[in-house]
Amino acid sequence: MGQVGLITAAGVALVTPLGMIPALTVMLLALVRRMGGSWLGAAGTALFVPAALHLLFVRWLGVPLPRGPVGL
Amino acid sequence: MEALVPLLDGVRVALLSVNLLAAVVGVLIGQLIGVLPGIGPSAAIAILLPVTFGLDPIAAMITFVGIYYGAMYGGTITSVLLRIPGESASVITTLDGYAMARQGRAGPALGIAAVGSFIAGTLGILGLMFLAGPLTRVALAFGPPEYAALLLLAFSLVVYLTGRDRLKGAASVLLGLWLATVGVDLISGLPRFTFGQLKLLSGVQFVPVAIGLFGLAEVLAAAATADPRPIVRAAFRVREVLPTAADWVASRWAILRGTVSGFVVGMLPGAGATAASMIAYTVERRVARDPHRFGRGAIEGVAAPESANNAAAVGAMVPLLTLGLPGSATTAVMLGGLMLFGLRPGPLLFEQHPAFAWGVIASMPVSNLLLVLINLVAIPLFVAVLRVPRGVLMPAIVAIAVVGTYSLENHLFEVWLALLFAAVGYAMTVLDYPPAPLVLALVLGRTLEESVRQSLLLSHGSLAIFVTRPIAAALLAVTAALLLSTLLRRRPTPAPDRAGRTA
Repeated sequence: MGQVGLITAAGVALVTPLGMIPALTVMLLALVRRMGGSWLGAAGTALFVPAALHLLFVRWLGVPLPRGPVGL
Repeated sequence: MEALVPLLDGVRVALLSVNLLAAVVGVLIGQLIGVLPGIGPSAAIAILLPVTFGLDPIAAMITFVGIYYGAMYGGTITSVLLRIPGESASVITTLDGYAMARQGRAGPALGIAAVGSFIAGTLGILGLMFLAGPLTRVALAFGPPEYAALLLLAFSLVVYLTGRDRLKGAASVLLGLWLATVGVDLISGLPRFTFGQLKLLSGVQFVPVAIGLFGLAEVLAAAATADPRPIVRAAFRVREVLPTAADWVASRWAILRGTVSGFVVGMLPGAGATAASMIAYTVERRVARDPHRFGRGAIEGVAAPESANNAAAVGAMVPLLTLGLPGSATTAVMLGGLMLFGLRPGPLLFEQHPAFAWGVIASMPVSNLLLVLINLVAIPLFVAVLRVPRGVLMPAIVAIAVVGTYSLENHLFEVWLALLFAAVGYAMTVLDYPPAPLVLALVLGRTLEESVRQSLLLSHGSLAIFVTRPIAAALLAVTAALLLSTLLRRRPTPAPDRAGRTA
């Protein structure tokens, strides 16, 4: 639990400098790898889940998620 | 006939296309959540609360009820096929459900659970409709002293019925009550326990705490365990899942007994669906002609607890909707969500928002019917979900929780608060402190404070108001008896041996 919690906390700490979607991408990549997923599974999850959350929260619900240098 | 008018209006509301869709979505999400070991309905509802803020309150509540129902049954699938309960109310089902699966009877085990859940849910809804009116009339006679006494009784029952160590339950309630005092004082307007944080002036928000305690903590704890064992192979065509005539004969009384005990236990604050299913199983073993069959694939050992946990889910709605008292962690999360929608469950709900109250009640049979239909045809779909690696699912849920918590106030403070309570929740689980009483106390703490202070204003500061009014005095007497019993009969939890077993 310790490392998973630390990775989550680090991901949240990255939201301000990177923006929500890039921070989630990094966090998910690290979490899936930490929990035994393959690089392919980690990359797929890290790309698909933030994209789906962006669609749901930003496009559908109109929540302004923090943006970073890349505009996401 | 006049008494049926609000119910008929409720049926009309429940059958609106948006509410039917909410029921379908809720039941499906609940089933998926129930299938995932380690995540319960309270976690699912807490994580999804922010997503439902754009919905109509009735549709949101119908979704929550569907999640609750669906999770109760979803947990059965893993109990039968993996011997791992998807959530705590299905723990006891593993005994006979998995034994049936090993004997090649997984289909009938899941089938009798689905049909038993449907019968229990339907009878429970009739009980809810029967009790809602009289209980609401009683509750309307309550003033602030009676309501304060009722809340104290609810907290005492939670301590009495939750967990193995009642003092740990009491500590959890006290922590929740303390958190409820954070913010601006109701009368003096002075800040309390805000530690200079402006965000805390409005109090500790309930949703980040619930997401942390139930959502993130459960996910993080589940992430620390290994992937489940392989799934028992079985056929799940409708013909194989439908119980045979012999199964029916063997299970019919178990379903009815499970329904009655589950409904009654579900109404008690703190007891919940887990206790209901265990009590139902114990009753069946006691009344069985051959109790040795239990644990070796007795179909009554599946039918009774599965009926009981669904009846308990409906039973928990009785005090929630009529008195504003949640009977379980899940209904506490629902109560918090309803408050965020500006609704306050309790006797006035039926007077001020009849379409909401009766619409939600009328949607329950709809969700129940959807549950049984989905389960008779879609068990293979949920089995497929079990094959998705946990290492992919759990991080995805963490991400949803982070974004959902952020969206509450568009601020990271709430996300850090959720992470803090994830750590608190994990520590509580490891140390065997029940988290549900904390959430119950946090949700109801402000109401308790308001009731006590209004009572004291009415009595010009005299505490005698709590003992001179008969209903308040009776409720306080029961509370005192429960607390005395807790203190006098406290037994320390046996220490686990090296293999982790308790005596």
